[in-house]
Amino acid sequence: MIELLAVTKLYGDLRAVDALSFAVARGEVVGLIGPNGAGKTTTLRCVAGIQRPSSGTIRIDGHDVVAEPIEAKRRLAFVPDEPQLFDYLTVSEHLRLVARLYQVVDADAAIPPLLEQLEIADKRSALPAELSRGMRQKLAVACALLHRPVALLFDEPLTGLDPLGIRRMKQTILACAREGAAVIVSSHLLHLVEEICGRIVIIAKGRKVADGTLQELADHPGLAGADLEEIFLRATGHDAEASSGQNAEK
Amino acid sequence: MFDSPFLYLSACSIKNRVLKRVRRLREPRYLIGAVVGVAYLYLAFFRRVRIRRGTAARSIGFPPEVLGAIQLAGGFILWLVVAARWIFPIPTQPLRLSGAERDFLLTAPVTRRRITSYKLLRSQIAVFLSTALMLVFAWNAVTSRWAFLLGMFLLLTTLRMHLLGVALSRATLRRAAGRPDPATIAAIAVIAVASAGALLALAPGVLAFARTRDLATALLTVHETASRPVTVAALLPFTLLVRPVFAAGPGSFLVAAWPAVVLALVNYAWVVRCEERAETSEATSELQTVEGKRSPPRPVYRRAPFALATHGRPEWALVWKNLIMLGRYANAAMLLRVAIPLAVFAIAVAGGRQRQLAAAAFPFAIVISCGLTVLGPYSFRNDLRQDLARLAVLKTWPVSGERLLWGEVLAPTIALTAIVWVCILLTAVLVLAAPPTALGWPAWLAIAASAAIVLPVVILAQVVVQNAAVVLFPGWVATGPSRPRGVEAMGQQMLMFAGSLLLLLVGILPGAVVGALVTFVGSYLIGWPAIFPGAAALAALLIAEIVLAVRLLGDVLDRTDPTAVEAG
Repeated sequence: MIELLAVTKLYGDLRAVDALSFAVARGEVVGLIGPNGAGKTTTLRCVAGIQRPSSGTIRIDGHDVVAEPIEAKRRLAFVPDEPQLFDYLTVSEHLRLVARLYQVVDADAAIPPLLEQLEIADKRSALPAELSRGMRQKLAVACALLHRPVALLFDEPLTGLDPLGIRRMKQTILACAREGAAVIVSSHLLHLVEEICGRIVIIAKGRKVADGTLQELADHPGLAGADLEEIFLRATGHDAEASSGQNAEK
Repeated sequence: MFDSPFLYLSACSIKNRVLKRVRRLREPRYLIGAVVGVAYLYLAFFRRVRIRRGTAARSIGFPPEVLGAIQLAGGFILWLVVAARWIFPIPTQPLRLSGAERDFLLTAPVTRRRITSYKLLRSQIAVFLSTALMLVFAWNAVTSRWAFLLGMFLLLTTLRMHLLGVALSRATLRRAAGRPDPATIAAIAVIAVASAGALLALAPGVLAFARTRDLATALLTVHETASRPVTVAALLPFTLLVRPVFAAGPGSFLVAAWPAVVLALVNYAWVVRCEERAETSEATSELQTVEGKRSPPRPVYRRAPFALATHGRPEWALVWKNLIMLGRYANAAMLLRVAIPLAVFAIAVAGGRQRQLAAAAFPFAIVISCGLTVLGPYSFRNDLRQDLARLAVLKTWPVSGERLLWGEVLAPTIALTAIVWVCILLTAVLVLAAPPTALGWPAWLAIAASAAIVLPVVILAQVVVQNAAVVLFPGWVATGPSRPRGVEAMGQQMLMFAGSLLLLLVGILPGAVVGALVTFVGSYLIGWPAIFPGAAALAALLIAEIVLAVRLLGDVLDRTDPTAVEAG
């Protein structure tokens, strides 16, 4: 469903993403984790079609994002860490715009239950300045879900949400996967990744350093650790931190 | 008042701002912009200063009665500005604190009064620079340059503080819903008395004009009534501010300046008082903190121009979006204040057959139409110039670059075309009132129809050129709601403006040649109305060029990396 084949992204001499390959099947939630500057957001932006990879192939449901961008984007949705909304469009107008762009013909029927599900129905006439951070995030999610994408990308989806919002967001992500979408979640919140992701891809300095379920990663020689945090630290070359963490807990 | 932490903050801010501007000159776009900007300023203004430096300052020396009239006129203008602001408030945040100032200063153990004083005094730097620029404009026209500089600085400072006080008072009154404080009551009383005096002076003049239809007589009447002691006394607070500007020398300046200084101090104390009241009446949302120097304008909800269907060409989604943007950032009241009087005037003139007035206004209407066509696209920026900051969002949409661009350029084109068509219609109404002698009705009809076809296409071409600059040179064009500042930014804008005009002329040239030929040949057959097919030919060629340009630019937009734009 989402396929990355040897994707590389260069900024001058800097290899932000280096020959990255992994795939996400329908109904799967894959966690994309890595240290700051590892290339997570760059990877997501390449998959979303915002940036072109310098080399490699990205396919969404069989459509190459570079060669067939329209078909690929029609099946895709990207929820960035910071919601990018139009200051002058109301909540319902944002959804109307998305409906037209993605040709969602049953939008009139689809929008109200979507707003209800995300608990922003009473804000349908509000401009973004009148919304809290969490509500803007929910609106961004609503815009992403309206056209029923088969591939979903979430970049730090829990930033700025209250506890109830966090729970709702996790439920939304899992519901999307249950309905058959391929989902990538990028987050620094490792407990979230552990909780909702069936598989984890760890990248560091643009390269993939680990790929597998939590159990597979824990069983890997050299990556043995009690939890994802230690696996992450070891995979990204911070063995001393991982060990000191273990000792502190003891 | 200007204690050491504030002095330190100001000194570091100024130093680092200058250093930042100097360092960015390493980038070609800023260096070239700076060279162009400095060259323009020198050639346009400072060269006059240099030429005159060796000669003694020429004293123009107005006769006392003329000087008195000028000062009174200046007082009138000041009164008008102040009264207008009391009656028609501009939604603005009076004393803006940046995010850093909010987090550091408001939480620090310093009084609100000291923070207000710091903000007021910091803003005087910009006022002084503006005044210095005014002096350059007026270098050869003023009697005493030092008096002009200091007098104008005093005037602008006082005016600015008073307008701040107006905004703060209104905010407090709105929030507190209670009785205004004595200082505000006194300010309102002064304005009310001045307004009464001004209206007493103006009323006879208006009546004289209504009776005689002679502007010169009306102005003379106003001058006579304005010179009466009652009117002079009523407008005194305003004329006192104007007098130092026209002082002939140091002695007369000192005599004229001290009342203006007193007025400045009174307004300063009033602003500080208003600010404290605003804080205590919990009107702090009116004093919202914003990030950066200038707060972006806030959209106001208004109905969408049309209902957007969920199927159809995606370009129209962008047109819909951008027309909404235009409507929600535009101040409809301002537009109506211009449009309604113009429409009433045109209809009244046509109905009343006021030939003289219509003949005077007719070329004015033509100039407005052409001016909007050429300059309108620089003001109507509800296109990629606003959306470039959201390019990352646009690129996630399943819409090709070409279609994105079409959607972006159509919205400002539609809005400007609507206004230009109204102007053409008003011009036609004026022609009814003052029928031309040289040309017949078929000719004028053909001219109007030709303008109705050609001007919108020229507008579209202009908008495409502006958006092309954004796509090809994103770092050179002001994008988003804020405007870059400084000499280098001015130079960039001048270069872009000159380049855009040149490109437009080059683009129009082939169509103009073909159109002229068609008109020339057709004129032998049908006379003046041949201008219409000529205009149609010009429009058709220009549209073909535009279609090709948008296709090419669409490819560029598809390949544009938003990261490069964001970094710029």
